[in-house]
Amino acid sequence: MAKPGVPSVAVTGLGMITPLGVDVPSNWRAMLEGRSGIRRIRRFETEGLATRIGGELPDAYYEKEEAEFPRRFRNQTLPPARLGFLCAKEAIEDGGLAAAGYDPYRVAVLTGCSQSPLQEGQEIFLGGRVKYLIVKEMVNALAAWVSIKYGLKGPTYNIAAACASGAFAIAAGLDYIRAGRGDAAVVLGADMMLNRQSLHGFNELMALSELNEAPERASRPFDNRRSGFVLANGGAALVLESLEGARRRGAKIYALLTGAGLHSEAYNIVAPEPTGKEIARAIQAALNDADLDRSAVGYINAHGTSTLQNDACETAAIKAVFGSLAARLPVSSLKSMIGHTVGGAGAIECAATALALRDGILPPTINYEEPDPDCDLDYVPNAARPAPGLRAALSHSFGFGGHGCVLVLEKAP
Amino acid sequence: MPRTLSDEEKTQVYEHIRQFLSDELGVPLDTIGPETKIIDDLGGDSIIYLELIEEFKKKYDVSVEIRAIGRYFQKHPIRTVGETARAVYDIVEKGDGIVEALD
Repeated sequence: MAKPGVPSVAVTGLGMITPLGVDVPSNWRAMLEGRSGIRRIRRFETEGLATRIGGELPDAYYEKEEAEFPRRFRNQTLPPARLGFLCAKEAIEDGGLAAAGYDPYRVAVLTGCSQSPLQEGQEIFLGGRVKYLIVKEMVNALAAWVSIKYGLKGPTYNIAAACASGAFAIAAGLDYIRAGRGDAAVVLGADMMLNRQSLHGFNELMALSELNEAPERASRPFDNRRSGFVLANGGAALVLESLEGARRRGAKIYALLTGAGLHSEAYNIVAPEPTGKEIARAIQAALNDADLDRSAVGYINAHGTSTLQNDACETAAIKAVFGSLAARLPVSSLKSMIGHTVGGAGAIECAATALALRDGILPPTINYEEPDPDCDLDYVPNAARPAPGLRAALSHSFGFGGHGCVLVLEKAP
Repeated sequence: MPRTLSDEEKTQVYEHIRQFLSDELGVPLDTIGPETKIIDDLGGDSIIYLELIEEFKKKYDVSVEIRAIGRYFQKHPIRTVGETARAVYDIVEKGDGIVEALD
């Protein structure tokens, strides 16, 4: 629970779009069924690329985009802004935020979109309408559009922290409400980095799985035969508000967001610090921020990218913080099913952690077949697991550049 | 070069603007009238004015500096469909002369 004098923050709305589905219920169902959203890439030419698989969004997403947005909006935005906007829309509607009666000057829109607009921008010079170049490319476009379309007038900005962008946006929303600067925040992460350029770039860094012949088995966090992450498109949004405000208006509450531990490794532009001690510090900082004893944590939604380095370092960090408790602490990675959505991942995983707390069930790590001596925790292998007594959980996010964010969620009282 | 738009041409301009807004913003044509506000009522944006001016400059072969149009908009803020149509008439009829007309 929150420290005395600090407002508790509730998660009251969710929105999610990933390769597994175009709304929260379909995603959560697929996660609990342990389905993979990784396929051969169909939407663009993969000739010449070492990796030809990824997590593309379902066709239903593109139909939704077509139905939801007028031509002008589609022309003036890049794919991640449209994706993020639709995630925010679902969360705002799900949370009943429009009817909540909050002063619009006290509702923030904080987004975590890492890089994809800048990359997409390359194409605009070759053909499209140059008139829209600036408004399309600006990395704050997603935050601005959500603010404009919903009339939300609190602080509105984007945070870029690579694969942890979405989690940082959520932490910023937590701080905003806790500090009493506002009553509510729409926080989200979204990226559409699955394109030729990104695949080529990550391939050059040897970061991606090249298991093209078995796409659904390519993302295998913590497994001994993991060989890199699988790039995917996706995002999620959460409505955060003070617990007091949520109760006053009788909002449904998925979970409480009770702490965040943010850090920078100051180590390497790509590789994680190998002993995991910096990640361990972030976990401990998050527990301190939530005023939560480590023994209360019943589940960790891992960053779990399926790269050799991340999964080993993250495991070492969990063991460093939880000691003998680590062996019985379930840890799972949604990236085994979704792939890595970069800026979207932290928000998708935080949202799923809230659902795990609400329903008392843990989503699995799929494709876990062969134990790695360096990864020896309980990864909830291959099948969801009931956890009726689950009270508190962590959601981990770490990014290129050494950015890290650990979020603490607790079951709604 | 100064020219005068006939009433028929003015109607064409007005209808063209309505159709453009309807197509771009996904709003039914019959809800767009002269008093409709492009940003407040239709969810449009300020770039739309420039796009419309560009189209009519081409259509009527008008040469006018973009900066002159900017100054014109400062003096004559436009919000509605009717005001947009009147701005187009002015620009087509006066061309670069719109700047002198302002002073």
